[in-house]
Parts: sequence; structure tokens; C-alpha cells
Amino acid sequence: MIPVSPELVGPAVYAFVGHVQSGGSVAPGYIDPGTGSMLIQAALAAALTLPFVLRNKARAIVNRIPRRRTQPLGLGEGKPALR
Amino acid sequence: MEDPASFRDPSGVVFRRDGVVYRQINRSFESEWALFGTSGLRDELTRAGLLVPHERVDDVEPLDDRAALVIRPLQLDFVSYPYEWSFSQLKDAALTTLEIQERALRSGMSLKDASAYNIQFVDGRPTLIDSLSFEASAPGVPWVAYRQFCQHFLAPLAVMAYRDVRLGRLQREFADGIPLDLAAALLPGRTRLRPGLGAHLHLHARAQRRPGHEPSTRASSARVSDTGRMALLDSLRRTVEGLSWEPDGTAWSSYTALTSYSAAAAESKTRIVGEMLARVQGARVWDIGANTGAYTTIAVAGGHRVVALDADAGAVEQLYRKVRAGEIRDVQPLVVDIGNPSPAGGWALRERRSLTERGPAPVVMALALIHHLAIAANVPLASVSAFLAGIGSDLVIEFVPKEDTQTQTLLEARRDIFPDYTLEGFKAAFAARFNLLEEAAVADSARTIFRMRRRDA
Repeated sequence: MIPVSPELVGPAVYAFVGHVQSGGSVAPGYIDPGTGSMLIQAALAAALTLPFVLRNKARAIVNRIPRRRTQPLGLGEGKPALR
Repeated sequence: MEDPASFRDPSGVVFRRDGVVYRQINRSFESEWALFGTSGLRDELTRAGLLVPHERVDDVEPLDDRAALVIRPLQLDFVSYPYEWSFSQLKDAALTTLEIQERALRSGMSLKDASAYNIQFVDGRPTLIDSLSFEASAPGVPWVAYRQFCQHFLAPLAVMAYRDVRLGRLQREFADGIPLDLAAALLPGRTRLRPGLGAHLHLHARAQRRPGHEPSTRASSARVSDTGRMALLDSLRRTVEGLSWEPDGTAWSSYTALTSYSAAAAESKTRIVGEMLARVQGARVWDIGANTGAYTTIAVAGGHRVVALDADAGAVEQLYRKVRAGEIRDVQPLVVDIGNPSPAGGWALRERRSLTERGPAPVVMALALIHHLAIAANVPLASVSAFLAGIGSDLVIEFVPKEDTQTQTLLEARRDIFPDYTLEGFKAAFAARFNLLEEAAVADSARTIFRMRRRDA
């Protein structure tokens, strides 16, 4: 075992060393993750990645579009000022 | 004394000393615990109300020599189990678990389990109580708790939403969540076409059935990118958010609206209950047969913290929604049929405590309940008295006589085999266990409310 601590090497390196120390196999948790579950998870994650990325990009684009200004209540009762 | 439910995870152990709950963190988990702190995740989750707060204690002797340190978490009044939650309680617990995992991944960590039993409702909000559930996130490795999340949360929510909300009770039968093949078989065929359920439940169930050769090699070959992990969580979150259930039409959720009380009787009962609760000893109340919480509200207004139990999932759902909306505080609504209360369960019948083992109450409120137990469920009055004496020392209880329309409804289609179900019979049965301190007739009604204290209290 390599004597490391998260303070010494940082969280990412620490996590990687832990992965190597566990034999690079399944995560070192104490529950049985299930072989079929691990495999289907990997397949689903791969399939879901592109739609996820595209959805996030679309959301970012939508968020950049300036919202329509509204007139103060009483003048147009909150209706869009620009039609 | 070691908590009998705390034996699966070698990272630490929960123990009690002098009535206080502590958590020992073992040396084998010390580095992960340190990472949990230095990553900032522990403080972030605590601040966000997603993790139960705790403090390190150096003046408490650890349970054994495996210990690295001891922490004292926030002490909980009452521990509930997922099979006692309404639909929205389980759904909110699921979304909380996913939010915690998302935040953990962003901090270089991951939940190493996703057990619904690790969630408790603190101030009405689902909160993670297992501070040892985190480990360093190894690059490329799939989420080790994915299957557990689907079994503990997704499967019960799906069968409750698509089939019948009462199927949530299946969680009581299966200690590690509802098996996915069972959930898939219970669900309507059309759910295969729903992207989230089709993938995380139906395909997942099929994947578990496939025979595996060299399983460790195949499992270790599974890889998930960082973005893939987030995509998976996002998909699970949207799947859970897409599940819904409305309590319209369940037996009791509309009971309050349909009750036979006149306005004068309702006002009288409210006043009597408020006055009697002001004179009980103890701040914690179990409201048995709470329905949608009309009298729970009175107890809370009097400064009590209430565990509100009802057999009807719809009524409990409505009360939980009020709690979640902040309309009422200090209430833990739970789906519990007092005629068949939650038993002990899990390993050696000690992992999950029965309802009564989670007492004492110490104040029990049993309004408009006795006729359901004594007549609808044929439980002798003496047995009801003994049971209630076992869970609380102070009792506020309503007697509903045979001439009441609600009792008449129960007797409508059956023979009256309850000659002892009278006011005198009720008093005699309860006087054997309790001192009858007060009684008050509900105006414009044949009902009577009593305040009693257990004889040995």
C-alpha cells in the first residue's frame, strides 16, 4: 500500500491511488453493486451522455437570451412592453 | 451498547451510551473521513440541510479498539423506516439522495451506498444520517450504489405510482429494496416505453438476470466517464421527478370532510383536546389515527412534537405536503396501521425496530380510533388498553359509542357481537391500566373524551 493522505496529494490523486490500491476493480464499497447493474449502468451512462450534454448546451443558450422586459404594474398590468 | 442495525459497514459503528447516540469512525475509514472534511463536502451538505449535523467528541470512550474518533450526531426524536413513508416522503428522500450524490461527485467523492434507511426526516426534511456513506470517487468506476438506489427508491416509487400506493409496504418484506425483476413484473407494460423506467428498471432487471461469466472481470471492465456519471444522475432525477401520485379517493383522506360532526361538535372537540393536551406530561405525542392532522395541529400549537400515524396513505400524504410546505412544523407523518403496526425486522429481528420499540411516546392521542379497533378489527377493549399503556404514559382518548353514526356504519352489515362496547365497559377496561383523570362530553354528540395517566407513571 502507498502511504498517502488526501491532504498530502489532493482529492483527485488520492482517489486515483485508492482505485489502484483496490486492484482497479469495482469500487471499494461494502455493498454488492451487482455485475449486471455495473454493466448496464456503464451502457446507460454512455448512451445518456450526448443527450445530457446537448440539453445542457441548449439550456445555456436559452439562459443567454434576454428576457422580455415588462412594464411596471399599473401601466400595462405586466404585459410585455415589446410585441 | 452497539446499535443492532449498525454492523454492515466496516467504516464505523453507531452506539448508545447514557441514552446518547454516538458514531465511532474506525481507523480503516480515517483517510476517507479526512477527505470528506478537506473536500469541503461535509460542511457543504450540513449547511444545505442535506446531512445531519454532528460534532467530534473527544471525551467519550469509543466502543472498541478499532476507533479513530467518535462523533455525536444530532439526536433524533424518532426513527422512521421507508415502508412507513407516504409517496412524496419516499420521492423527496430519493431526490435528496441524488442531490447528495451529485454534490459528492463534484467534490471528488461518491456515495458508497444509497440505502433509504440512511435518510430520516429532520424538521420535515429528508436528511442523510449516515456520515460514513462517502468514499473517494475512483475515476471511471460506475456508481457502486446504483442498483441499491433503484431497489430502495425507484422500484417502490414506480409500483406505487403506476399500480397501487399500498405496494409501498413491499419494502417491509424486502430488506434491501424491492427486487427489480419483481417491480418490472408488477408494472404495466407501457412503462417499458418510458425512457427512464424502461432503462433504469426494466432493462436493469433484465441485465441482472443474464448469466455472468467471470463476473469480476466483466464488472471491472465497466467504465463511466465523469460526464456519464452526471448524465446518469440527471436521468435518474428526471425519472423520479416524473413519478407522481395523487391521494384523491383513498378511504380516509376525505374522512375529515365527510365526518358526521356538526360545527358545534367540532368546536367542542377542538377545545377539549387543546385543554387536555395542555395538562399532559411530556412534549412528544403520538397521534394514532391522525388522518390529515386536524388534531395534530392542535398538539403542535400547544408546543408538542408529534408523530402522526395513520393507516391511510392518502391522509398521510396530505399531512406531509402541509409539513413540506411549512404550514405545520414538528410533525412526522407516517403510514402505520395501528391494527397491524410495523414489526421488528432485518437480521435477527434487531436491525429494524418495531413501532413499540421506538417508543415510549410518552403522550398518546387516540381520537375517533377506538371503534375502528374494537368493532372493525374485533380487538377487545382490554387489549387496546394494554397496548396503549405499553407505548405511552399519558393518554387522551375519545370513546365513540354505538349510537354514533360512524360506529353504526361499522355495524351496518354485521352482527353486533360487542355487548361490552359501552361507556361503562370502556371505562372498566381502561381503569385496569390507567387512572382516569378527566372526562368531557363532546357537545352536540354522544362522544366522550378522556384524559388518563398510566397507573405506574
